[in-house]
Amino acid sequence: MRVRRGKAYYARKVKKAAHMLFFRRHYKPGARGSELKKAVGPDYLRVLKVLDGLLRPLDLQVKQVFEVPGASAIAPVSEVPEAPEEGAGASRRSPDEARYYVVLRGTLEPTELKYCGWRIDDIAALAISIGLIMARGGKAPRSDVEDLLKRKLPDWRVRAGLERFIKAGYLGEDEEGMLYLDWRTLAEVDIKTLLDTLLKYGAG
Amino acid sequence: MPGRARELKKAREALERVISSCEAVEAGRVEPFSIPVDELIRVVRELFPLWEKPEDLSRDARAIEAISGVIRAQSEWVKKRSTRLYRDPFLLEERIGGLSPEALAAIFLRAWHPVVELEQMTVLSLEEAARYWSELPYKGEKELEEAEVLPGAPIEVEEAGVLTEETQRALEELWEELRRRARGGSVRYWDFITADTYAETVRRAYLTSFLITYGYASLEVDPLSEEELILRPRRRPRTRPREKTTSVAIPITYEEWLEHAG
Repeated sequence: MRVRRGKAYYARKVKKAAHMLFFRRHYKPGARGSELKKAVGPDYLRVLKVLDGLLRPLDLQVKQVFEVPGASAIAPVSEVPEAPEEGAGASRRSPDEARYYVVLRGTLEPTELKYCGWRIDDIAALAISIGLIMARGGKAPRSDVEDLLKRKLPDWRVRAGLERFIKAGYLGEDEEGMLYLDWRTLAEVDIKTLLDTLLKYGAG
Repeated sequence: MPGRARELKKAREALERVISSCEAVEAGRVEPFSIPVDELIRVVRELFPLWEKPEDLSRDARAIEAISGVIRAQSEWVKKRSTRLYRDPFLLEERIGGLSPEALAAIFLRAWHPVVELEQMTVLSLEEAARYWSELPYKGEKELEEAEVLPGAPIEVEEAGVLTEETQRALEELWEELRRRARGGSVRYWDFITADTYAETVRRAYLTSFLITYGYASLEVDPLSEEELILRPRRRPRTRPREKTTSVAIPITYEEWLEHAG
């Protein structure tokens, strides 16, 4: 039996969850489901939905991200079922394993880029890097990404840009010198929309 | 029989080539379908009657395993192309190479929903910081001496910055131990350095810092707990760091040693 709770019950928990999601406490921002469960309680998904509703007018939303290399799953928390779906089977991942972030619900205008400290060149270089890595099936040699970027950008900007993307968590680099999409790209970039738009751009 | 020895040598080299080309596929450097699996299987089959020694049979098994890895990669390749996220790589590369930076930035902005996070100083954290500062000892000689008075026997540390032959040997041994304990993966930093005595723990921590500085191992934050530090040995030392690097100071206090050793 589901117990109905009043606004006052959630107010304290929503505040706690907002603090955990907004303020960076570890290497990455956001919070893991297991951490939220411990701090907010077992009904943390419902609390996050309440928070998501409060953030909507501010053009923000809470997102659930399962960071599994090569098979990440991202969903707005408003679409996440609170109880396991019937017949979902044992393969369904627990929401406690996911990480939750507050992200921009809409998108930024080019004129707003300066608020984030990014130049248009940086954004273009990041789009190219992500596009090439996706075109190569999830991993691409750093030298290939550099060669592609150097066609239009000076060498120093390419090197500095890639280091910045890696430091920020957009790209990762393994011991073999292969670049892959790291946690921040998974959390922030709608890869499907990006690839679709790249292919459709200027095609009619 | 030099003729037989030569034949065996060539056969071993052929098998190693099979293994390395298969490993290149698994590492993502080569497209899975650019490897002629039938041809590799034929080579392995032809060479098999030559093997008598256990190490040759073991190499043969490695080759078979590597080929099965290629087949697995091919299966993944097909699976990936049947998903919604698959886009023609040639078309995609062609397209991103031909777009202007302005167009690319505009496209990226349509798909970008940046994470919102805050960094803010609070009165509480300022109070805590002020308390910490007032309790922090001065760097004066007297205080340094006091700080270095450790419980138990005094600890001798090698000359800073100079690696003696003995230190080099100790490093090699520690690296070997790290690789053995990590078993191809990683080991928790505190589990690795903690020894029976505080002095030995400090010595291991000191030597481990050299392993990290000289590229024999990497020190990372455990992605699961995000708090624990883990050590990951490298197969061979790295001279030029590829990842972002940062300096980390890890205090090895007597109390912490007691906590981990207990």
